Amino acid sequence: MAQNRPQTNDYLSPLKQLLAGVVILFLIVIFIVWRIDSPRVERFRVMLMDRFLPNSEWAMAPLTRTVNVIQDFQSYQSLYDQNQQLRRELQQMKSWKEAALQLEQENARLLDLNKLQLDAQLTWISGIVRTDSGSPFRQSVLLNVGGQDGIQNGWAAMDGLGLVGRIAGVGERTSRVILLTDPYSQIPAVIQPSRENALVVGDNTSDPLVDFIENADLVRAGDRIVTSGNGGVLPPGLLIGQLVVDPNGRLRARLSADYERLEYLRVLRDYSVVEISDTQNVLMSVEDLQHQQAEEPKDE
Amino acid sequence: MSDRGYNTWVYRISFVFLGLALIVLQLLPLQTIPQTWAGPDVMMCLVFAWSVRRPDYVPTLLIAAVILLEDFLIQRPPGLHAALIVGTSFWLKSKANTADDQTITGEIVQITIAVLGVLLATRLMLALALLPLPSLSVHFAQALSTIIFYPVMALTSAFVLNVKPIKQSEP
Repeated sequence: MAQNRPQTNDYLSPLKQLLAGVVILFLIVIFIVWRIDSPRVERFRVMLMDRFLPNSEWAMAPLTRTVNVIQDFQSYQSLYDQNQQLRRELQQMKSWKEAALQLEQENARLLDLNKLQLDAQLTWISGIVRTDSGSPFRQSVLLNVGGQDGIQNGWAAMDGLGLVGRIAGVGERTSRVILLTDPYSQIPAVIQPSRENALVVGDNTSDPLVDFIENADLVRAGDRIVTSGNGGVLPPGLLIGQLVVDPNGRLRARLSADYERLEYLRVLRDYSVVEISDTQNVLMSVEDLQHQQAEEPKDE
Repeated sequence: MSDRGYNTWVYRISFVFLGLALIVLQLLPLQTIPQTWAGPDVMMCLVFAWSVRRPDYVPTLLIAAVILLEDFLIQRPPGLHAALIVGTSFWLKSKANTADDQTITGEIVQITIAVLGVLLATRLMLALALLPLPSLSVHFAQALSTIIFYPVMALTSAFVLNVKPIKQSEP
């Protein structure tokens, strides 16, 4: 006992207090450095994840699978209802398929008349979702494709149907997709058919806010929201979702992408993204934008 | 003495592995829809439960390293949470040493103060650094579930992992 008491009590000793103080100071300095020079520290974060993830994948894949199997098992209870519902939906889909086929034929005829060539750069890289953000306050996923697959910052990530988010943080073998629901996500969008410009702002809820609409009288719930491509952020025309009004009267986007099952994502290749690497470029790109904006009215 | 020293190192290493396992569990891509509530911060429970019982199993440097890694990997502002946890666990260690007859209610009161203190300090520091604050309801839900989950972690530590305080009477 005489040996143990001093051993535990020495957590009060001045030396231990000094150590704790120095460690806390060091950690606060890291926080401040991150606040001041975020890109550099974020690059370190990406590098760390790049090293950590492949080493923990052997544990993560089977665990994810097991939990998903348990969740799927619970859904067996509602299997019959689901089956009926799917049959009904399939019936509706058949009529849509017929319509789509007719449109496709018409489209092919028109394209042929125009001798139009589709943009060959509009291709994609598929990635598997490896992790989520891990924190209830951030919404992002990590894909198993990265710099060595040619992924670049700012590219759009979609599931089969709608926009999911954009790439922010590319490691050698992984890349992070900031989801539209993340509090830091802001995507310029346009609301069809009124062509009103808006910003889709994530706020950590399942339906992001639709903000900064010039004339809110022109839009209605149920309108389609697509990316506008303003400022070179994401290619224009990607489907985001439908406009809805929440109980507080604010406009929100019901996202088209199925966020419940993010397993495989498509990253659209887009070589027109303005890479922001240093302050000089930021200023230049702002100037470019102003030029663009100045030129736009002339075009119309 | 050498046996006890060896034991301490076994527990220190298992703390690191438990920490890594908790990080991996959080990163599993199971929840990609934003929630209106949040589960407990199990890592915080683990650090606090061990700090109260056996301060020598969780030295300051080890806590700092594990929580800083967690900060980086789960997209938190790096360093902030780690600094607060190190500070709070140090406070808990000193409390645990002064009070020999620690009761379970006293411990829960202490933990409640600690968790709420971390919550307030986090929001204060983020506001000072002009960063956007996480939504209060989710943040508070996380603190609340952490406090509720704490006894589970404390009992598991004591009776499954055998992390018990050294009694005065123990030889």
